[in-house]
Amino acid sequence: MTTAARLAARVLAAWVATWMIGWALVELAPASPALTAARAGGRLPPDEAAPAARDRAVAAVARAHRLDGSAPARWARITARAAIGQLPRSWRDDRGAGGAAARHAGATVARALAALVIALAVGVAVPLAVARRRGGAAAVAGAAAVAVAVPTVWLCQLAVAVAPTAALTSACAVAALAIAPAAVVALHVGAALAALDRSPLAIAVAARGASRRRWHAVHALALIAPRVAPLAASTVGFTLAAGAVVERALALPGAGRTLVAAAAAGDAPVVLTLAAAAAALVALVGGLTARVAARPGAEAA
Amino acid sequence: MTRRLALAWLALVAFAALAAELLASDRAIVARTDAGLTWRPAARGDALRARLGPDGWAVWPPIAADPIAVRTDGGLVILAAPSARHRLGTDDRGRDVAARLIHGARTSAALGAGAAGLATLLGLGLALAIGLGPGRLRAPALAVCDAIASAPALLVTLVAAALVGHRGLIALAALIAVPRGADTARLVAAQLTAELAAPYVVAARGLGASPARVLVRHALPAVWPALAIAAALTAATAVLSEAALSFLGLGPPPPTPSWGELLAQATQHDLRWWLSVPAGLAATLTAAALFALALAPPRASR
Repeated sequence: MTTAARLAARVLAAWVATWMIGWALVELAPASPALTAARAGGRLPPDEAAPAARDRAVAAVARAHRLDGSAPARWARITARAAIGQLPRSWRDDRGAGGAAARHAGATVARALAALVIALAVGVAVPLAVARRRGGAAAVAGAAAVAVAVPTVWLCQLAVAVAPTAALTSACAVAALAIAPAAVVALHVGAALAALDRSPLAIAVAARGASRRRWHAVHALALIAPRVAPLAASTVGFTLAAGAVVERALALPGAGRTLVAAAAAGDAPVVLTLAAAAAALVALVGGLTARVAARPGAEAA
Repeated sequence: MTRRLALAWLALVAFAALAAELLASDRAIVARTDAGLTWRPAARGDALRARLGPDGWAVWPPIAADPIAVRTDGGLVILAAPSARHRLGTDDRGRDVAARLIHGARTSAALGAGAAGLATLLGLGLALAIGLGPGRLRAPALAVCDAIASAPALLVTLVAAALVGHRGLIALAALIAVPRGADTARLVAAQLTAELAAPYVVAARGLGASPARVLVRHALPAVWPALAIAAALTAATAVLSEAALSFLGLGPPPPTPSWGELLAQATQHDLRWWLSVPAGLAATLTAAALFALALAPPRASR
């Protein structure tokens, strides 16, 4: 199997597994999918209406969205169709769930990727910069532990309080998304640097006349890269999830807000499409970075 | 030093959670009325004051306000800035923010402890099944754990909360515990497998120790530190997830007081600092204390 085929299989597995687990949760919910769909689409008659009228409305919604039949048959049908890209329609507005999910996805993915780049750059640069200073590693570890612990919503509130202008909102969003992943990367890089500084390789490089700066920038960084690369997937996952919070807190358009609106309305097709797309993206980045982690010399790091 | 500070803060949060009713409530702790000495009398606020009589007295909680019910006592004051009467102001329904902050500690502590307990049980069970089960099933089981653990906890919780529809604390704790339990299983299974192959365990087996004795006396004590670290990380994740889910309207149902709900109110009402700063600081310090405990270098032991 070629690398591309393995990557495609990994992405497809993430997509299908999310649909399988997600739709199983829909079936396990106390309300039937047809009732939830009728409620999400506003097609239930008022509470004072006769039970027969409600039942008729739910049955009509079940027929329209193909939610009739037994739960296992429904689960198998919907997950099989999702696997080949035939997504169910949104329960709220009857449009394709894929279209609803893709409407603002570009902005969210762009912010997530920008946050990933900033997190990797800051998370690698800061431990390298302070590695030569006494107590620097401990300071970075302490700051990182606090940075990871700040709730994203509070970060956004602090950002709005400090920089209330609209022009800075997008920059604040990326910064709020990047802080926690940068802290995690810095913790890993700091720990790896501390271990490498005590290694025989460090002593050998120093004996050959290389400066400490050169040892860190050229040799240690190359050995640390495979250790940091797998963090890219979890960073993308975190930034996509936290995007929902950031977009709502800073009133920015994006797939996160679509996800929250769909979740609040109980629109399972849109929620699952967005979740499966996020899982596929995480699997894609994970597969790509696994190549870096698996390169020769990674074991030494 | 860091470990002591973290433990001190967590002890404070635990105390606030356990003694919330005695710290913030409009029910007196003890009162002497015409009927005699009463512990936690049923009458609240002004109703009790009216019954006290000339010789009566009552010991009130430091914050004599109910975190849930709105008692106007002659005037409803919403979003009031901190004052002598409401030390951290009031929220958008006129409830005392300090009282809701203290009772929010109970929500966060219950969610953190519940999620950590469930994830630990799930992780330990899975790790034992992986470590002691057939060798050919080990790799696929670890791959499944890897896949579940790599899913972003917040996204999993958000999606599952939306799909299942339950918003109780137990359901939220279970939703947070599943991906964290898989991560715990991955960590513990690796350590358990290494311990079971360690020379001292092989020697114990050679001396005739039963598999159960090897597990209980040798392997399990070696994995407790990994379990404790994973539990601290799970509890921190639960505190942060609660803040995010409450902000998105998918947290514990109203009128449950929680730190995330105060943060959500702050966003809705022009970032009033008395809604945002205390709740944000409380969540940050609690999560930071748990992270600090998890990341602290292990103490020398056996």
